[in-house]
Amino acid sequence: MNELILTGARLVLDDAIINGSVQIVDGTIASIDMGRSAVPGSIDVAGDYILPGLVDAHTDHLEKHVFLRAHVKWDMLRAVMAHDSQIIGGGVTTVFDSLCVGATIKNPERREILGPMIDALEYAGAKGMMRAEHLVHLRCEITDNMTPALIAENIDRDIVRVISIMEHIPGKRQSHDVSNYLDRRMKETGKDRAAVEEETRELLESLEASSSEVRHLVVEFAKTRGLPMFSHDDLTVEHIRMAHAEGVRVAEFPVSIEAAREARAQSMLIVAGAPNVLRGGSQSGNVAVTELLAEGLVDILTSDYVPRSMLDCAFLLANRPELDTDLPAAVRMMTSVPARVCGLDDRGEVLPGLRADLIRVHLTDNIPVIRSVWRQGLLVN
Amino acid sequence: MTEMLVTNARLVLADSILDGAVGVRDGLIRDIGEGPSSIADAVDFEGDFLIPGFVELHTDNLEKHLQPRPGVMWPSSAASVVAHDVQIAGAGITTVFDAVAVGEYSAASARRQMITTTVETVANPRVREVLRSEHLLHLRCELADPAVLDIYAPIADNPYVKLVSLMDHTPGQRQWADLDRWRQFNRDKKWTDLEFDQMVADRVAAQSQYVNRYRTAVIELARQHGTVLASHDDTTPEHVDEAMHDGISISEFPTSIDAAAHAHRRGMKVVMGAPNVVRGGSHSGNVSAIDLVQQDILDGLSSDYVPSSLMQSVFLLNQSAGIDLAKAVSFVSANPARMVGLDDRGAIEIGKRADFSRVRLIDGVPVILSVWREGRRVS
Repeated sequence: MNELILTGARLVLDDAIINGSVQIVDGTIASIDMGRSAVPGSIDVAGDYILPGLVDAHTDHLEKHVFLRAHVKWDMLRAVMAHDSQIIGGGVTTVFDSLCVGATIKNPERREILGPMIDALEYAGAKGMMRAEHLVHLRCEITDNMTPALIAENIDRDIVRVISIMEHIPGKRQSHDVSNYLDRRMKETGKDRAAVEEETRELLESLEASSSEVRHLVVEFAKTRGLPMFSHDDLTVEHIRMAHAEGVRVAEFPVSIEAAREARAQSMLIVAGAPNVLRGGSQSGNVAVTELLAEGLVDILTSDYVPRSMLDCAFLLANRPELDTDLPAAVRMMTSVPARVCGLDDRGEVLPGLRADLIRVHLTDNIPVIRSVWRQGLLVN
Repeated sequence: MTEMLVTNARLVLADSILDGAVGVRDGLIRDIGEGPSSIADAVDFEGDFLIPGFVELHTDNLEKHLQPRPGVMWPSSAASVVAHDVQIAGAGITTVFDAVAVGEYSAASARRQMITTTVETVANPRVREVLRSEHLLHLRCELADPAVLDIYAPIADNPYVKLVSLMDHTPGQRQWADLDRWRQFNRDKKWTDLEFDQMVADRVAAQSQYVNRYRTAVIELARQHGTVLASHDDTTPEHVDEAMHDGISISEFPTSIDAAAHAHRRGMKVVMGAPNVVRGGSHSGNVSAIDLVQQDILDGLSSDYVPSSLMQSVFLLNQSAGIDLAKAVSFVSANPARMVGLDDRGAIEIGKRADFSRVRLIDGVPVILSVWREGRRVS
């Protein structure tokens, strides 16, 4: 029997914070109690917080390690390991690496790297080279006709656990203001406004023509494998209703408060990005997550593109009483709620019987600093 | 008094590999012995490598955390430094020189503010207390930038500024001797021919106006503060001679074999980028680091823009280029430590700092399992 006891901790439970100890046996949380442990060999965490290991439902970050600089591509296995080290350093013990399926106009190379990225994640996981557990969230771009074929190649892999439906079209959803796109194209091509508008109209028609058919196929793939579906960047009430009618139960990064309210009305769960909270608004000028929080319209927070942003966000929210999100509530949004939505019921809380995925956090000037991370009872950082 | 004993490790010493044990007390290496130890509390490395903590002289990685996406400045520089630090420690780097660009032709107020904030944050004792690796500063002074001295002078006496490099990224010479490659590297900017020509002309004009003046001034300031100097992207033997004449001891990322060989012959220390080793060549089409290793004119490797590339390059040099492992490790530990006068670390030797990593080879790939700095586990 392999036993570890952490004592002198502020344990962040699902709905309370208690001062106490947690006992871990063979990688599982065995017991929790309010007192100090007198067992020799107990680790005294000196009043630091013990949180459940974070569960990140959406990070784009792996791609950054694959393309380290513009046009500099890195070896896939090495990229995966470097990414993992950053993920675990953000207190994340279970990560859904969100990989783009299908290309957008800007990133055609995404078609080629999908398979090799998943191969590398599977290989490194099986060989014990990774500190966090990596699962895959397929972000399916419905404007690309190649998307169904790419999904078909990968959907039956056990590591694939979440499907999201994305539609990146200039003038829609996240980028609903088309004038930026037109300006950029004018600069890129040197053509006049009328020519660029004409070209864009044709492009939009062709993108839209394929997207409803591809969308339908993506939904069928997800249903056949019984995977949870996320709808990405919903802007309008209609976007939400369409997704709900297709069986989607999660709205990921809604870009307007109307869409988020409709998602709530349809009993869908709502995913928001922690960087948006920390920066005090959206990079692309869409709804601020704090506005959603103020109306109770956030269920899950993800790191999006900054691995350690979830932890910073949890402690920031705990200091913003007007948002009515105390520390346990903020932590739930990045642990038990995403774990359950993504089909993992063995983790996500400091609770006997669950995996001993735990992080020790020390506050320095209100900045949460990770002292240690345990995954299934093993010190991994 | 903290004590630790590591046993059953493959110790990478200064010039050999030894299967044995290491004793640590008060943050220093106190004993090194051959064979396993029988002490019950010893940390069993199960045959994994024990490799000295790396000394990294030039990483651009902090800036990625300060600005996680183009145009997105992160609201807390302390949070950025802490996140960067986690990545650095996880890469087996226990002493890091965070490279901060001073100038770079865009000394707009945002960047200037970023430099000031970065230096303050890295020097802040409350932040230093929680950092895993020891962070020092490397100021990359862009000599063709009119703001370079205004930015450098007020921070020249900061106790953590231990290294200053002199750079000139004017297109048409050094790293960007080939203008087409420079344009290709910047293709996202989508310059028209006219814009491109104008850009080059402006930069060349700035170079002739500022470089000589600021070179002298920056060198003078660095000398006053005892700061080590490096010369960046040396391309010709003349660049090296000029650097030698100015008392510069490190040639960082020379772009040609001629410049590297000349620097080595004249006693300058030659540092190349580890990504160059991992990728099997330079991304800007310049000299390959492996060629320099094979001609025995390389002294150090730096992770440049990929923290994890140091460990990868060490084992690649060993496995693919046949370089002795202890020697490959010296490129990223003892040698760079000496270049900047940090004689208390960089080797598994009695009396040195207990900075080391536990590394396991899995199918030939180095996986860092844990890292200690001054005897304390930090990753």
